[in-house]
Amino acid sequence: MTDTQPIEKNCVGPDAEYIKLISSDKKEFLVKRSLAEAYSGTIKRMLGGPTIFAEGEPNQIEFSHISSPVLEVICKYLEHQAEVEVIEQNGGEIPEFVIPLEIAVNVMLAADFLEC
Amino acid sequence: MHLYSLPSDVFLVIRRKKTTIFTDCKDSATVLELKKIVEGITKIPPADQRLYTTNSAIMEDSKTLQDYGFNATTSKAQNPTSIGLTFKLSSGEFEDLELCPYSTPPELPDVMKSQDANGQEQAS
Repeated sequence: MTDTQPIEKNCVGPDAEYIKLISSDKKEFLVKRSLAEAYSGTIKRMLGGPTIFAEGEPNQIEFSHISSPVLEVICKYLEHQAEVEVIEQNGGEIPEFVIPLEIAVNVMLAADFLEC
Repeated sequence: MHLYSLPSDVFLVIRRKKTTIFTDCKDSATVLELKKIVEGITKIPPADQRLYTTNSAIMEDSKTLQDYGFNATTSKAQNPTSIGLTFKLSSGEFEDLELCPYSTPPELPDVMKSQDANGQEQAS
């Protein structure tokens, strides 16, 4: 691999290995597609359903009812879940996942919607 | 399905204006490798990117994440390290580092303020 080659990220659409989650206030969050599909049943269905994304279009989902702080916590939780799975396989202590109190209720509503 | 296999993974959040990219890499990865990951997502070549540490220091391509103090202990999945990103403008200058803050969460209702950290009894 030479220095001029970008790391191949299976870019079928512009963000193919990553998907874009857009919050109600238009903030964009890119997470690895494999992560989102593995730990959120809703996102997995959204990506595999009738709204198949055309070639060349970014794979993105808009959440008009989820605000950016909440979506940020959700993204961190998806990563956390992946880490937990590794820890469970290797043994070890699972780190605590802290959610700020102000948005805790909204996070729970979003998590319920996203099935994660 | 396990996605991460080694404890040396550094979890990062790369932020530019209104975009946040959640990603991870090894602490031995160089800044240039990180820029290539960004290139794959944004289509901007590494030469037109600039990455900044949390105290707005410009990161050099040849250094590793470890050199900047990022390692698996400091950058966990639930609390990733934030890295700033700017692109080079058509004028040849780099944009100013600008991270749009997330929207302010709504004011906590009085009912919840009086409770302890277990304010999760109510599901609306």
